[in-house]
Amino acid sequence: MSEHFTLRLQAGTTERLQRRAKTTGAAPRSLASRYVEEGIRHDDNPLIYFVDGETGRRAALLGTQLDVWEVIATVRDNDNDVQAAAEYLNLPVGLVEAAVSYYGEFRDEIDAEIALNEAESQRGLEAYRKGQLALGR
Amino acid sequence: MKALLDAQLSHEIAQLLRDRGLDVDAVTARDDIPSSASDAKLMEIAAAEDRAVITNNVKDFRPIAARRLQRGEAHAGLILVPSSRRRTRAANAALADEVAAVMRANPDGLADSERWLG
Repeated sequence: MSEHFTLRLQAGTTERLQRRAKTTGAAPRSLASRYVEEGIRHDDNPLIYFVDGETGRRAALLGTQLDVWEVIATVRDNDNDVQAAAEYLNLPVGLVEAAVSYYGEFRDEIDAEIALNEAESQRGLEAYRKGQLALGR
Repeated sequence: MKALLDAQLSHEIAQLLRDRGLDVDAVTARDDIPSSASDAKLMEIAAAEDRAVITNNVKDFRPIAARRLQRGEAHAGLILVPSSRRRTRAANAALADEVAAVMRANPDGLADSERWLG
């Protein structure tokens, strides 16, 4: 659900927004809305930033090559032991804790990323095995 | 063959593979690869160095590999770790053994191809 909100942009901002929207193929209003949402999330969670990925925008952990969903999946693999996950990923425990805090706020989004990877993994592996079987390997 | 270990897999796996005489870099240990590098950029770097990417990020890397092939751009292969495999330090040695087996079975590399661990 979205709500109507009107604001005045500084001189030049609209032009830059439109230029950026043209580059990304997004509608200027959608892009502005995304900037506001991600800006607030980043202010609330300074160690989290946002990147484009194959399956859309996603939250990532600053200073690492890891998405939040990857960190949370690792925590789960280690029976929710944050310290063990940090050691596995060779990260300061504070970074893993930052991902866990973000997860607490946006659990559905992160769970959806993890579920998508699990589904694609299962589907891909099954197809690979069937293909090998069909070739008698 | 050579390989590049993705960031969500323990860097210890790369060390275990090097201990087995294999040429494997952990992306997290590469100072020349910025932490902000996208998955597509990692794939591009790996292709340029003729390294297969070892990853369990199936949902992102398989489409990237497919798109490269569609564009006529080669890649150096994917070694895919199913998400059903638990990523713990205790599991590192077994995972390294399986990756080593794939690498030794494909000494000339995995150009444009993929292999799955069980």
